[in-house]
Amino acid sequence: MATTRTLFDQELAELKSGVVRMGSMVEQAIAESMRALVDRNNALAKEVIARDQEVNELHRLLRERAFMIMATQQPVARDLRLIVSFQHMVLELERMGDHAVGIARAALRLNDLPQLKPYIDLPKMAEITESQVHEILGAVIEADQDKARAIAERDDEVDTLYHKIWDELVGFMIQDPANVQRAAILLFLAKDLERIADRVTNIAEDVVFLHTGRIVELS
Amino acid sequence: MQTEAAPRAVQDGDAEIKLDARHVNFFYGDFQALHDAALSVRARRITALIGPSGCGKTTFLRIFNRMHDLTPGTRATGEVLLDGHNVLSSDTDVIRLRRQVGMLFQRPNPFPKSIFDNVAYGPHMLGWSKARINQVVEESLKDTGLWDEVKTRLHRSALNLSGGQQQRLCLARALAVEPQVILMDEPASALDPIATLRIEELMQDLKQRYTIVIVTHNMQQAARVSDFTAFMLMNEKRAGEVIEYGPTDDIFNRPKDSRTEDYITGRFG
Amino acid sequence: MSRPMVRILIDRFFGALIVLSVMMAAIPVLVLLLFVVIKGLPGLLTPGFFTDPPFPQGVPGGGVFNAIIGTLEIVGIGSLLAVPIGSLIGIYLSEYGRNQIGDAVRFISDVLTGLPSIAFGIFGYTVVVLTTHHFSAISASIALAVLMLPVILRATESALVLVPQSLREAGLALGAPRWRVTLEIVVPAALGGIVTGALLAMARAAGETAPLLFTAFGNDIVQTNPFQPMGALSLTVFRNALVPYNNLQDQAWAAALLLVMLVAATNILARLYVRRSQH
Repeated sequence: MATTRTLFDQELAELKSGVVRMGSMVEQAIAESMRALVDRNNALAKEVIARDQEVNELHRLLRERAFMIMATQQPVARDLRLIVSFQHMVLELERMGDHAVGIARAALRLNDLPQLKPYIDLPKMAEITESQVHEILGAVIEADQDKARAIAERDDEVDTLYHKIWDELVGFMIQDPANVQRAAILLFLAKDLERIADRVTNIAEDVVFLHTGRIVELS
Repeated sequence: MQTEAAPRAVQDGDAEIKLDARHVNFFYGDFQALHDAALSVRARRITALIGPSGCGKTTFLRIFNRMHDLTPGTRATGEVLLDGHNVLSSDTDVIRLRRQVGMLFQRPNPFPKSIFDNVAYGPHMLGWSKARINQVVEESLKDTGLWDEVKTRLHRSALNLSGGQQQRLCLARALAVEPQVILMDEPASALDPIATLRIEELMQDLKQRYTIVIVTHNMQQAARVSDFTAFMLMNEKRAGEVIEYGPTDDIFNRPKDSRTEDYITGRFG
Repeated sequence: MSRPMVRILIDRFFGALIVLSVMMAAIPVLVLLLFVVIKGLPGLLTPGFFTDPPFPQGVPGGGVFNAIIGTLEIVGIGSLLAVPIGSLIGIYLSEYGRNQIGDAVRFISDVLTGLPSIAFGIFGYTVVVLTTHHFSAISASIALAVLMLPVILRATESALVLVPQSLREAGLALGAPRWRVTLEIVVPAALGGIVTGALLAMARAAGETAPLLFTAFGNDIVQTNPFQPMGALSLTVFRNALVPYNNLQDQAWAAALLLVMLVAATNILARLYVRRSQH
């Protein structure tokens, strides 16, 4: 639609592409941190940790940009909802990046110790989580609230897996005190994954808000 | 003047309807300027009329106190019910109507008389006693925040006041006849930003006692100040129509009509 | 010669042309005034000029006391007739007269403004003098009233039209009926213009001669009865200008000077009133 606010529309489009770029960076960080664990690759883990700086920098930039747009363009209605949603999403993505760093650090510690057990459920949980992240970014790009709602519903699968992993790791700890250190680290790693999946739901709620102007609790 | 702004009512199902316009059509000779316009103005709330230039919002406003009678060749059909009585009917006492429904104009228009005589004009015409007139002049000037500024020079000419003061004086003048509804036609458009904000603040105080309808081309003002907003547009035949009407929070956050949203986000196709 | 120089020269040339035209217009007026002042001052300063009636021809001395009273009374009565009627018509034209009747009134008024003043004299003569078989001051007053009417009418209408419509709307929006808005808001706002118009019309009437010739006719006796012939300053000037007696000629000049001073004073008064009413 040809409009009377082309500069403003441009700024909004740039903001959106910034959000999507940040999402891709976080998606990659999650995948690589899990790879670092499964392949026992310390170099990869260290890369993930280093690259989180870029994610943080992008977060800071996008939040500043969003604020400036609000201050100078007095957005209302859908424009305001858009900016407010993006600000929130960017925050969630930054936290997701931090969780990926948590996974990478856990991988670094675990890789120096003998593997407790073959990693089966964790990679499965990670796979679902990674696909969730990928899907939700698609929903943001397409501004598809139905897709967002559907993604939020899959969070149950992640939770189920998380509880299974938890029970299994607690079992290991009871069985033998020598397992506790590794099991504990794995517990926190699983928690990081679970939090990432939670944040995907939060982003889904932002997509719904963008469209309806209503804040709903999903999942 | 430090006052707490009256909290904007969120649940407005209870505020009764003070002024109800239904199926209003308006003609300048053969040209139709308003088409099937409707508005339910709620008592003791602020209702804003917004829309691009020429969409008929001022025309619509001026029907409520029959000011269109002053222009020859105009005709309004439909109903505008004030407390149940149709003000457009030919047996309406227009003089009495205009006391109940006051008006504030775009440019301040004080009479070239003293400040006191300006505010006292209405009461004087109604034949009130000197004591009552003095009292109502003081109260009206206090209600508009002017009293402290002018109490020592009530008998000097009103034309010496600043633009913002003159507009508040015109408001005091309108309040002095104790209306129930106040119509405001872009009351702040000729004023500087500080004077504008003072008028807006006043409106929040006044709405506890009066029903206010304001036409404004300043959308931020409408959003700041009003409880309900009506959005108007010209149709293909250049007649004004009410496109959407609802609580201001809804109109500015989640308008139902895409034309409304386009207008308030500043995007005209 | 360079372009800017040519332009400056043309500028200067036209500037000089304008100044010359102004002088050509102003000089006769100034010469006239000077003349009247020089010729009239001796008569004005003669003792008895203001207080004595004219003495019979040939008798030295005398004054224009009768004429002063006469001018004041004739113009006074005329104004009493013309100002209220003219203002009311002007108010009607401005507030209610945007129609064919109003246009007709305006047209007639414009025609009257263009009539030679002697026509008003004939009118006064036919309507009053012939029917009463009397020359009288009142017939002159009536003639002058008809002469003043269009001036006052148009000045009133103009002054009222200048009052912004927003003032009327403000009054009407308060629930004031139309007549109140007109009388209490619009007319007071236009009062400066209305009063000025009235004063200027009166000053003009004071100087008219032709309408008085066969209505008031003139009277050397000091008397105030409007139903009798009466003297006037303009008549004194007319009658004494060609009479071969020096003292009477001096009185004519002095009467002319007095009229000029009266007109000037009225104009100044009108301006002062307008200025004061704006504060």
